[in-house]
Amino acid sequence: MIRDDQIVFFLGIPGSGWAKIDSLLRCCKKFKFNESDINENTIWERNTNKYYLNHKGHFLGPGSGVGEGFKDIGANYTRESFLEECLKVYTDINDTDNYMIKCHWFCERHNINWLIRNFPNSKYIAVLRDVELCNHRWLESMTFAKDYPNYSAWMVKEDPDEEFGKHCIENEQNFKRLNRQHDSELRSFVRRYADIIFCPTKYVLDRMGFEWDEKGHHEFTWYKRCYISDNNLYTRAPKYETSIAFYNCNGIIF
Amino acid sequence: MPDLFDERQLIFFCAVPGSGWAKLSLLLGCCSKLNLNKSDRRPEWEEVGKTGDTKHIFHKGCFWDPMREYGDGFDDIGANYTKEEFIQECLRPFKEHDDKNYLIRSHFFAETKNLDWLVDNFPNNRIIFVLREPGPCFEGWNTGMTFTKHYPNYKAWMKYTFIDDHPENYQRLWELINRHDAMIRNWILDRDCYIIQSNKAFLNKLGYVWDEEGIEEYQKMLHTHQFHRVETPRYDAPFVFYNCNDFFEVSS
Repeated sequence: MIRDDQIVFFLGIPGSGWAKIDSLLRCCKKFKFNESDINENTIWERNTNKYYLNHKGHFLGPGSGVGEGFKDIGANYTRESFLEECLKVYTDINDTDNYMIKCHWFCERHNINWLIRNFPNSKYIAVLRDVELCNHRWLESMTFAKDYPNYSAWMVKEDPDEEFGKHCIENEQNFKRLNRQHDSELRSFVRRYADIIFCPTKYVLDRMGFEWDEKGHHEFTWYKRCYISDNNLYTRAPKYETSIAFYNCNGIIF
Repeated sequence: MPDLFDERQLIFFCAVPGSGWAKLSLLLGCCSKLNLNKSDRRPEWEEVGKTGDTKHIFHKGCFWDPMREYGDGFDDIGANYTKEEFIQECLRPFKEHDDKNYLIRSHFFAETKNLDWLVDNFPNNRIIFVLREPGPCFEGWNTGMTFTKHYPNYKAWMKYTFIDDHPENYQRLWELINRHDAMIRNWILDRDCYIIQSNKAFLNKLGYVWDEEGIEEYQKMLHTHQFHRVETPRYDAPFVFYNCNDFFEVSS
C-alpha cells in the first residue's frame, strides 16, 4: 500500500496549461513521479496556429471513465475507495515513487476540504492562471467530447457538430460559469494553504532536479512557446502568467 | 560623504509604473532578512494618490528616476555616472548610514543598458523586480497617479510637460511601460531568477515582522492590490529575485 506522502493532488482549471506544467514536473527528479499511467491511449496532442496542446497520462473525473463520482467525493467514496479509484490509472504501484492524482473537479470547495481532511500529509500542487485566458485557450483549442481528455461533464447540451473553437453557446456559457467558480475556489484554497507560489523558470526547474535531456528540452521549449507573448512587439520572452502553488512540498525547492 | 560597508548593501528594485511595486516594496521593508534602511522616509515623500484616502499611503520614501530630485541621470547610468558617483546618488536621500541594506527603487533600471551596467559594476548585488502585465499596470497607474500632481512625479514619461493630462503623455507612458516590461522580461529570461508571488507564507520565509507596521502594509497590499475588484487574490504581480539566494533556505 502506498503512503499518503507519495500522493500528489494536482489541481487546475481547464485552459490553465496544467497539462504542460504536469509534463514539466514529470521531468523533475525531486518529484520522481511514477509514469505508468502513460500509454498509447493516454497521449494526445494538437497544434493550432495559436496553441500547442500535449496531454499525457491520466485525467480523472466524470466523463473520463475513472473518477466518475469525483464531482462530490465525500458523498460518493470512502477514503479507501477514493484512493483505490485514483490509483486505478497506474499499472505500477511501489513505495518509492510519487503518484500525481489529477482532476479538475478537485477544485470544487467541498472536494478540496474533503481532500485536506482525509489526506493532510499528501502533497498539493495548484496551477493558477487568469480565468479569461484559460477560457480563451480551452475554447479555442479543445472540444468537449471529441478529444482527450473528455470534458462532457462541462456540457449541458448534446453538440455533435462541435469543433475546437466552435461550441454551442449553452455549453460555452456553462464552461465559463464552472471555470469562474472553480478558479475562485482554487484561489481560496491557495490563499489559505500555499507554502509558496512561483512561476516555472528554468532556474526553479533546475532546483527541482529538472533533467535537460531530449524530453526535458522538448517540454520546456513547448512551455515557452505556449506562454510566449504574442501581442508585444518588443519581446519574445514568456509572460510568466502561470503560477504554481505548492502545499506540503517542503524540501522540493527550499 | 557616506560610504558603504559592503557594496551588497545596495539592493536594486525595478518595475514598471502601475505594477504596485511601491506597495510591494513596503512589504519588503517589513522583512527582517532584507534588513532595509528606512531613513529615506519623510512626510513630504508620502503619497495617497488620487483616492485621497489618508489610510492608504502607498508611496513612502525616495524614488530615483530622470527629472526627479534623485536619479536624474538614471536613464543611462553608465553614461552619466562613474560607479562611485552612482553609489553616492543612491545614498544621498538616506539620513542614516549603517550596515543596513538600501533599497534603490528606479523604473529606469529596466533599460537593458542599465541592467547590464548594474550587473557589470555590482556583480554580487541583489536585484528585485515586480512583474505585471502592461495592461493592468497602465490601468493601475491611471487609477492612482498623475504625471505631476502626486509624488513622485512622472515627468520623464511625459511628451508635453506643460500639460499634465495631454493625451500624448498617456501614449508615451503606455509605450514606456511596454518597452520596460519587455526589457525586464527579456533580461530575466535566461538568468538565475526566482519568480515568486507575495503570499503570507513566503513573506514569513523572508522574516516578515507582524508588528503594527507589518500588519498595516500587508492589509494595504491585500485590499488595493491582490483583491482589487475581485473576491479571491489575483496573484498577478510576482516578485523576481536575482542574486537573492541568501534570503531563502535553498536545498542542495
